[in-house]
Amino acid sequence: MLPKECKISKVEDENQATKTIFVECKDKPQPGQFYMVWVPGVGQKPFSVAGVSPLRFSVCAVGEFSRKFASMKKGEKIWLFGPYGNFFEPQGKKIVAIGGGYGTGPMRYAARIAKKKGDEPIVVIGARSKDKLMKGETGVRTVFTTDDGSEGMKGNVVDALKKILQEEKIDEVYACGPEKMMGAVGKLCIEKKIKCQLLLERYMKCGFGMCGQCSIGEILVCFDGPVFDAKIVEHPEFGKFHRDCAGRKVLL
Amino acid sequence: MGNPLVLASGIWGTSGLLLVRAAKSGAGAVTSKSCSLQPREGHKNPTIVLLDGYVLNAVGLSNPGAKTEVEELAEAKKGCLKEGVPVIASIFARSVEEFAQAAQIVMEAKPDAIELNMSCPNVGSEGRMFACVSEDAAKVVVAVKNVCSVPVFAKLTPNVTDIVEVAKAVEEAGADGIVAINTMPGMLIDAKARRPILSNREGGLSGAALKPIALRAVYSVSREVEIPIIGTGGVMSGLDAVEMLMAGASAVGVGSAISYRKNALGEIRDELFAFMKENGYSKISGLKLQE
Repeated sequence: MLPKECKISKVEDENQATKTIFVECKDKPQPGQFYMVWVPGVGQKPFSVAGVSPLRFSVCAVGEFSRKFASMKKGEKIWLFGPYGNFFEPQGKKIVAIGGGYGTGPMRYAARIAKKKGDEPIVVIGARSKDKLMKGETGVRTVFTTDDGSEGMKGNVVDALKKILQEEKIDEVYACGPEKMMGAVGKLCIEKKIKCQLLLERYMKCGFGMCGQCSIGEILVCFDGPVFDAKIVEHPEFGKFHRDCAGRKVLL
Repeated sequence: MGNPLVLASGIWGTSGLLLVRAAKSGAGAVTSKSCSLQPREGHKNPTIVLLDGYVLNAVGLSNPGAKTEVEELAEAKKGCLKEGVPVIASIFARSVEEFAQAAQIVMEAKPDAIELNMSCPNVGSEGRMFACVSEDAAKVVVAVKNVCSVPVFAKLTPNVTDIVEVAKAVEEAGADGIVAINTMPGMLIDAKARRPILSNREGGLSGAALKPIALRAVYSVSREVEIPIIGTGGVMSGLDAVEMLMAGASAVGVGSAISYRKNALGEIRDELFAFMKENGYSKISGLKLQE
């Protein structure tokens, strides 16, 4: 399929470095799926869907491409290849969706869909400090954590998850964020025998299983995921390194 | 080889363990992604566009460099050995000397064969395409044959006046096989963006649309050379593989199909064997055109 030209209809500030960009596009991809977002003349990178109607993406200005994408304004255009990848398949009613950094975008979307279906999602949003937190999801129970205690619970999202698991019966956990954070969430869920799905992020050239750049050993994040069962954290390469554009292993 | 399918270079070859996965999922042999002496980051994204019927790519031969590639190849070799699947190490270089040096380095991983990628269309002014000139192609083959003891395959481009002439030249120079064909140069433009889609502007065409070009090249070459051909280009199904073998290939490369069919290698292999069974062929070598 040729890429879809989409006009930006709204840009919302999440925090200093992160925006959520809304685009005019009729696609209704599932939580977990992603697009290769092309900004002509700048580049193309994978972005998870942070919501639909209108379609949106959460972007944190960290590199050359994301800085440009995050600075785009209403009326400007982006081109979308996709959607690609699998998605979250709910296996319970009471779901905790954990977002670290810009990984919060797809987690809020997953929670929104769960709520609509009549499930009982809890969104956990963590950051180092208050100024780095993403916004909560309206109408969904939300727990904030900050490492320095400047907002919400002092500690990280894993601490918050532990607390929730002590206090109530949870059917399933979703997480998206830094790989080390997902590793900790995955391990905890395996230990506590709670179903858990993780949404992974890797550098990609294609997005559809050809280039191999997003590999974790024999696994391809784009082709086999990007949503994986928590047992992926037990893979010897998980949380250790990713591959850069030359295919070199780079420590995470 | 347990079956004639060869994972084509550039697909999955980034990781040794992915090559092992290809071996487990149906490839009779696997080819690593072409590596060069020095690491290469390749072109900026977009680098690969997947459309109905064809793929256009200008990855730009990104690779971690031959020294690092040796580790991936060794891992691939270890896992593929268990499956009885040979590993072909693909190399690319800008000069005849560098081809020989890269070959020497990858030989440390004990690959079963070496593929000389002398036909990538995506390196622009960085290097001429050795497979465009018979004498140049022959020089690369001679230089690499001098430094390694395993079979050497020359990967050729169809984008020449006469691919048969180049094929004969590499055979005479001592090549043990030919991989035909590499991608065809092509371009895609997004009308609304008023830009080429690939950052490199042009790229190499693969996928179903390449099959007729590949069939013709393999057919023409096979009538003039004795060495085996890995017929590569547009094989998406078992029937395509049958056609490639009938055109004169001894083995069949599979690449882009991976992105169109979740289990392309296994399915193409099964379809090929099913065709043979249904039509009374007992051996791959029996798949020939009528005289």
